[in-house]
Amino acid sequence: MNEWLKPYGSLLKINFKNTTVYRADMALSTVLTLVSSLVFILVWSAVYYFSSSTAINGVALITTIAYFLVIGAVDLVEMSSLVSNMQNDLQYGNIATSLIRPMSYVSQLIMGIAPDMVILFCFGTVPIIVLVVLLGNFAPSIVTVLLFIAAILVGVSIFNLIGFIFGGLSAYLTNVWGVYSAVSWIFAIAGGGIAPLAFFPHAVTNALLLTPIPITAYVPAATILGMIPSSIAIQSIVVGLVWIVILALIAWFEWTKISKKLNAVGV
Amino acid sequence: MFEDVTKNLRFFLLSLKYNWLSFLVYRTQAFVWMVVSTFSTLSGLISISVIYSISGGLPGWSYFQMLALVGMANMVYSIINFMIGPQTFVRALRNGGFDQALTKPYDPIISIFARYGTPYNIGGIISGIGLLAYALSNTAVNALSIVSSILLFGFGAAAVVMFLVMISLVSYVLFRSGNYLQWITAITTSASQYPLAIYGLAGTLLLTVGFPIGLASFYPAEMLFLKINYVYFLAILVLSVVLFIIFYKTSKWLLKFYTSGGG
Repeated sequence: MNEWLKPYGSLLKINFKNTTVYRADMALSTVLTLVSSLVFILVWSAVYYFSSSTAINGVALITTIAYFLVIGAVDLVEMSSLVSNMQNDLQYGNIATSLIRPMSYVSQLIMGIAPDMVILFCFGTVPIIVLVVLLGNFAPSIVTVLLFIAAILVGVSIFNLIGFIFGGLSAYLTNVWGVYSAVSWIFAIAGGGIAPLAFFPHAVTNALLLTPIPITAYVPAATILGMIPSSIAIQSIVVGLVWIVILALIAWFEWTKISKKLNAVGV
Repeated sequence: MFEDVTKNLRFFLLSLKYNWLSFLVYRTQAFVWMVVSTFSTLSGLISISVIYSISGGLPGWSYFQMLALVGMANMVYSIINFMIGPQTFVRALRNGGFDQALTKPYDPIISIFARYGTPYNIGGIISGIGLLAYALSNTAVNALSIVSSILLFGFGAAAVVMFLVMISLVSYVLFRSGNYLQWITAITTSASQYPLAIYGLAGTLLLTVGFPIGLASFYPAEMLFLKINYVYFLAILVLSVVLFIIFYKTSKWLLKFYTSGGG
C-alpha cells in the first residue's frame, strides 16, 4: 500500500514546489480577485445608499458586501489550469511522458492542479471567509459551515469536470480556450458573479438552481451568509451531485474515445 | 511629416489585413472568439438591468444612459485589446521577439500595434456599438453632444491605448512580466462602466489619470447626455491629448531599455 502511494506523494511534492516558486503571482491573483469584488461592492453600496429601503429583495447592504467578498474567495479555489494543461499535453505530445509514469493520466492531472487549489484555499479562501464572517457578525451554525464546505467541494468538482471535458476537446479542436472562456463567462454571469441570484426574477433563479451553475458560486456564498435556508442549500448540493455524475459520464466517454487516438506526439 | 504618417498608416493597415487573414484561417475558432468578446458587454447589460429592476438605480443616471455608458466602456476595452495584447507584447520583449519589429523602417509604436493586437476583439467593439445605439434610440440626445462625445471618446481611447503600451514597457523593465496587465485592464473596465463618483475622489482620479480608461468611457458618456458643460469638455479633451503625448514620449524612451534576447 505504502509503495503504491509513494509515486503519488513524490509527484505531489514536486508540484507543490513548482507552485510555490511563483508566490508573487499567487498573491497578486488573490489581491486582484478582491479588487474585482471591490468594484461590485462600491457599485452596490451606491445603489443601497440611494435606495429608499435598507434591504433590497430582503438582502441588507452588509450581506451584499460580504457576498461579493465570499464570491471572490470561492472563485480563488475554482481557478485551475486544467484546460491549458490538457491542451498542452494532448497537442504537443507531452502526454507521452505522462503515460509512461506508473500512475493514470487523470491522477497526474489532479495532482497538477491540487497544489494551487490547496494553497489558495488555505491562504486565500479560508482567511477571507473567516474575516467576513467575524466582521459581519454572521455566526453560521455548524450545519451551515458543513453545507458550505460540501457546496464548495461540489462546485470545484463540477468546474474541474467541465474543464476536463473541454480540455479533452483539444484532441479535436485546434484551440479550446475560446469555447472554455465562453463557458466561464456564462458561469460568472448566471452563477451569481455579477449579482446575487436573489436579485434576479424568481422564475430565472428557480430555473438556474436546476443547472450546475449556481453551486459554483452563489450557493456556497449564500449558504454561509444565511441568504438561503438549509433546505435550498441541500437541494442545490443534491442537484450538483447529479450533475457530477452526468459530467463524469460524459468525461469518461470522451476520454475512452481520446485514449484510442493517443500516440507519441499527442493526438 | 505627412509622408511619414501615410507610410506608417499604410504599414499598419496592411499588417491588420494579414492579421485578419491569418485569424480567419480557423473560421470556427474566429467566430467563437468574437462571440466571447461580446460577453463583457452582455455581463454589463445584465448587471445594469438587475440594478434598475430592483432599485431606483444610480443617482443622476437613467437606465438607458447607463446602458450607453456600459456600451462605451466595452467599446474602449475591446479597442485596447484590438490594438495591443499586453501579455503577448511583454512576452515578445522578454524572449527577444521584438527584434524583428525594430528592424522595420516604421515607428516602433506602430509596429507594436501591427504585431501584438488581437483581431477577435472586433466582436466586443460591435457589441458595444450595438448597445450604445440601442440606448441612444431610447434617449434624447442632440447632434452637437454626439459629435463632442465622439471627439472625447477618440482622444480618450488613443490616450488609454498609449497608456497600455507604456505600462507594458514599464512592466517589462521592472518585472520582465505582464501577465497581470490583462486582468487589471478588465477590472478597470468593469469599474468604468459606472459613474466615477461612486468611487470617491481617489477612484475618480485613478480612473482619469492613473489608468485613464474613464477618459474614453465615463466622460464621453457625460458629454453625450450634457452632464458636463463645454469648458469641462475642453479641459478633458486637452487632458487626453496631453496624456497621449506624455505616454507616447515615455513609451519611446522606455523602448531604449529593450535588450535583444529579452532578459
